[in-house]
Amino acid sequence: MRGRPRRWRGPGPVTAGPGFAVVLAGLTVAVAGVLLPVAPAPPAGNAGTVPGTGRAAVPAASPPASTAPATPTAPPLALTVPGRFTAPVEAVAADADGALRLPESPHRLGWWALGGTPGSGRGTVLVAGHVDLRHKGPGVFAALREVPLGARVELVTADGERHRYLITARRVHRKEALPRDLFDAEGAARLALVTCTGRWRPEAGGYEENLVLYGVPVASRAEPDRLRSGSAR
Amino acid sequence: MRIRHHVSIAVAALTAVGASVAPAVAVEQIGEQDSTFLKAAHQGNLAEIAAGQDALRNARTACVRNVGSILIRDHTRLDAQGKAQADKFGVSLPTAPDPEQQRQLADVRAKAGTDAYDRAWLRVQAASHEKTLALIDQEIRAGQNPEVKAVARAARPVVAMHLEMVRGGTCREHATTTSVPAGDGGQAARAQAPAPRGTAQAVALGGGFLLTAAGAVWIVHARRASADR
Repeated sequence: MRGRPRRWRGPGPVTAGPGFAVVLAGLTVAVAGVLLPVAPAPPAGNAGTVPGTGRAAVPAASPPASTAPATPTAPPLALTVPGRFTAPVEAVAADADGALRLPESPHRLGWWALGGTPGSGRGTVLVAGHVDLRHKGPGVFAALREVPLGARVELVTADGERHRYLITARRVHRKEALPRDLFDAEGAARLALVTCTGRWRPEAGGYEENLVLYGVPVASRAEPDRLRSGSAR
Repeated sequence: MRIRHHVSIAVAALTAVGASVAPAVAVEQIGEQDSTFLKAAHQGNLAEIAAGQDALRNARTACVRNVGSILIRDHTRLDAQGKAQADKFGVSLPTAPDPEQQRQLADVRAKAGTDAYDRAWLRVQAASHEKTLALIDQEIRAGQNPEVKAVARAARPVVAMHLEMVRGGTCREHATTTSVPAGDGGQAARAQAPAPRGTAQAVALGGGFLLTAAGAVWIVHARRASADR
């Protein structure tokens, strides 16, 4: 009673139509891969002109007698890159080896307390942040590598003032070869944002390089109003 | 005519009075604690600068001379910050360290030319920096004015750094600030792996090729099947 097994002749009549659809799909995907723009890779490497300190050589241990020290302005409390991030800023100093001690949290930035203060017209305002930390994850300054030249940065200081800067240069330095003039309180007014980048070598203590974004102060729209009201500064 | 003249004089007088009163109204609040802090901080800065200058003259070891020059450099800067605040809020500052600080420096100075100088200098510095930290913490805790508190907070890491150099009466030289270690997690390095564009393109091209080939096989098979029938 077992009937002869029917020979399987395949899934039935196959038309070529679906095949053309598949070929069309394949060609579309291939062309899309070539033509469609993927998110652009973040800017990398050196770019722009570093705003100088205006000092001919590495400054001496004590400032020359003829140069009056800058009148210090209030310390920074927060840093904002509009459209990207805002983070609180606290004063930091170095350890015995001359390494800046940044806040323990990767979400807080460190301002070198012996450097320039925003709005004083002198010195490098140095603000640094961890790119990431073991067991704590990425830091707010991980986003620094996405910040292009021409971006604006704003520092709010303890007296409520907002100080604006324009990013004009990017440099990547080996960590042992960070320019000494970053640590300058008396030269031309500029901003330096510093984090780590490059190859990560945990056996050697971390990243191999520092990323530095340099900025110059730009006049805020509020300034002309302040001048008009005649408030003394 | 005369009334209008009187009125315009009155208006002018009121404006003049108003203008002279306005700046006083604009001055921010500064409390007793803030004022005390600014004065004591100034005296502390003067004392440290004097101690640093004395070390440059009389210290026997290079380490103590090094710490001395760091104290002069940093306390000059901290003092400028404090003075700017005092000027802004109209706080008049004392012109010299307090009597206790002056006595301590005199005691250390008396040991100049002997082996005991460096040890005495370091011990006085350790104690005075502990005291300065306590002063700063008091301002951070109880200060009223946010700007004066910010100046206290900004001074803290510098004073803490100095204390490390002299704690327990032992001299520890500090290198100049030259490096910024800013990360050790490795997450950024992993995120910076090969360009996403290259990978996506490879996948799209490969996938597209496979689909095209599959479709071509399908067409050939379908044509053959219909030809067989």
